Amino acid sequence: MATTYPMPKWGVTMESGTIEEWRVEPGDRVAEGDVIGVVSSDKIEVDLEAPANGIVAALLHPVGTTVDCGADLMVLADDEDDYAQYLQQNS
Amino acid sequence: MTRFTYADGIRQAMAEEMERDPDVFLLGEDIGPSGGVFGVTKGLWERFGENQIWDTPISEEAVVGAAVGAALLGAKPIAEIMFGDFVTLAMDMLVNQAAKLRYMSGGKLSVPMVVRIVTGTGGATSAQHSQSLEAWFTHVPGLKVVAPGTPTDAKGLMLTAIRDPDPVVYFEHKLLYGGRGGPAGDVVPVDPIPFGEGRVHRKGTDVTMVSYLRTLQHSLEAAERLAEEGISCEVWDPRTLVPFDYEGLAASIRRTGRLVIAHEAPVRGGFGAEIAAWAARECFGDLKAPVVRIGAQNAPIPYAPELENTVLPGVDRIVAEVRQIVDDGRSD
Amino acid sequence: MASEPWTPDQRIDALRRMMLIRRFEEKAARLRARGFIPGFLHPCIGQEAVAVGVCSALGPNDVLTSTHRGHGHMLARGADPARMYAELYARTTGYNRGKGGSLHMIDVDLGFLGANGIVGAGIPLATGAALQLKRKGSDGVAVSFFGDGATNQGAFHESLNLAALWKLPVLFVCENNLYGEFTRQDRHQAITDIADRAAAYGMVGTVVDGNDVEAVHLATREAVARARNGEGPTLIEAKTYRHRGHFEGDMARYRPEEEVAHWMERDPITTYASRLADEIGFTDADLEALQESVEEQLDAAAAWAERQPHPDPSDSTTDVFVDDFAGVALR
Repeated sequence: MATTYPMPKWGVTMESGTIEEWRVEPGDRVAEGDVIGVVSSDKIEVDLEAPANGIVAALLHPVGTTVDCGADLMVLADDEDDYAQYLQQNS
Repeated sequence: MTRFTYADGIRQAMAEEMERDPDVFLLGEDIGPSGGVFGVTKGLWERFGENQIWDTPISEEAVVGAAVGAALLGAKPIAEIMFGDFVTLAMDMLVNQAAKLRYMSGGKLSVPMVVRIVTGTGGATSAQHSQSLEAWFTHVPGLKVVAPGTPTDAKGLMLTAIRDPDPVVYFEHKLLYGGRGGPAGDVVPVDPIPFGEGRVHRKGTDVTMVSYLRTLQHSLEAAERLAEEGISCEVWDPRTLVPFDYEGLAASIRRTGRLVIAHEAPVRGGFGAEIAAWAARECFGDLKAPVVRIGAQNAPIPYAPELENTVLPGVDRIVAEVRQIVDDGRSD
Repeated sequence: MASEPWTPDQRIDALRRMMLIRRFEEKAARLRARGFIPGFLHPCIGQEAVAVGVCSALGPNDVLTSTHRGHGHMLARGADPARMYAELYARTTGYNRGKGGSLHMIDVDLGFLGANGIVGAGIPLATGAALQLKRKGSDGVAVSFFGDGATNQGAFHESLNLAALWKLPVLFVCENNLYGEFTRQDRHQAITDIADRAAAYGMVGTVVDGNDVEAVHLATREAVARARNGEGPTLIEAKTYRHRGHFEGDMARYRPEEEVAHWMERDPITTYASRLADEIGFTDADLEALQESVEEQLDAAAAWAERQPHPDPSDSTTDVFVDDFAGVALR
């Protein structure tokens, strides 16, 4: 089943992050640890790494959006079937 | 006639515990063959030898840290800070390590150790060898703080401190070492004194005077003088600041209705503030007068005797302050 | 043969342990990003060979103190990753009942006296532990791990002097990962080899390749033998590299790319795996199987941790003395 991942909380004082860049788009296959985007917080830019292996099912916010730590950020499908199912459910 | 002194009390308690339990050992600067700057450890090196008396380099952090590390493996070390002012060099070990290890480990570790802090003025010992820093340690959860004012209390509280499972900061006032008022004899048997049990040194009805360490002697002297003026003072010594005998003090305040706290440490942020704030809430209905705190001026301890005598609270100041709050009440 | 301290099985075991540490932390970073771990994480990724090399040379009576970067030391000593995750998740069945977290994790049964949130603070504690071991006539030794940054702390100097003076059975293991927090070694001290400092205290100092698990093991074995033999402490400097930032979330952009690339090539796990391929025919399939077994173990550990109970608010005043008045705890 596709899993929703939140905006990470890196620094102890970090409350939200602004999406500076997405380097992937829905349908892209990613491996855990791949850099898939850049998030800025407290004037520091941090690489956003893929939280697991899978296929990017959805990027929930466009570049420039500020997202609270812990709020939904992206959806990752386990595999092609999972991705297809996700698309069907969310079309 | 020989009298049992405060230094005897500390020394004998340590010796008795070292005799009873080989896991008790001392470490500190110049505590070995030389017997210590104040002679508190005199004769212990000859009697207990190198495995229980560790004469250390001048390295306060390593000394206290080594005590903490040994305590983690079941030892019951007693580390000496030759002048309490030097404890600033060991604060990490005391505040961040010893005090917190039991809690941080979820109760899996404990740190049964004693840090002896030689506190207060020695008379013209000036700003870096005279301070009374006890309030700092009462502010750190995980530490117990002991402040004996008499030779027998010094002994009984040291026995308890050594057996306590938690780190105990044991303050000993250098001007008490010679020890007025001790019982006759060289070796006096004393039972361990439980922590958190204050002691009424003098019964009275007009005011409760809370004092510890050397200021206890000042308060007793002040009470004597005030008695001549018809003011009846109850002099109460908490003996341990953490744990504190709140019940005992509340009972005394119920009897007298007035509270004066005197200590050698500066008034600002001193332990008197803690007692006063507690009493203002818990004993409000029993108080007939504002709570008064007496302590050092908010200045470093100066060298010149006339300045030192001005900075530190003496008998005269205690007498004046007590007289004022009792008289204020009477004129109402 | 001196350069080969281990049987093939022991070598594979050392490799697996390094992989376990690496993967434990990678997963912890992901779990933290997902909100499971409320506090700091200081990953030791890249330094696994020091932890495994040292701990593999220790016995059951030995004790250790660690640092803010302590997961590897603890796992190398044999700690249970499930209870470690539970502690990171701040659950009551964690190693510290949820009261310590990454910075303070302990396992008393393993003689692991704790990670530490203060740089250099474990050094005097290990020195004191060694003092007690010596007083009791134990054959145990104390080991203190610390980084290059800690060697500028007074605690380091005071402790090394004391330990050498008293010939205490203690190993001072400096993991020189080239950075004290964000600051490169050449900007925080004027020496290159920290082991040189040993001479100032009259103890043996050795430099070892901290990315070579067997070299670290051999250096440790020698130092342990000296300590057990009453010959006093040793300062071992293991040269290694922190692959990631000072803490999770630090991108470590203060490091030159060539430097990072240089050290990535010397990754202690991949280099050891290829060495085992050359020397004992350890195959890619073997490596994959090892990876899978580590993954399974850690998946199960994290899943277990996730099911563990949260502390009760009343736990806040247990494991510490709290005064009370009229039966009510004072606040």
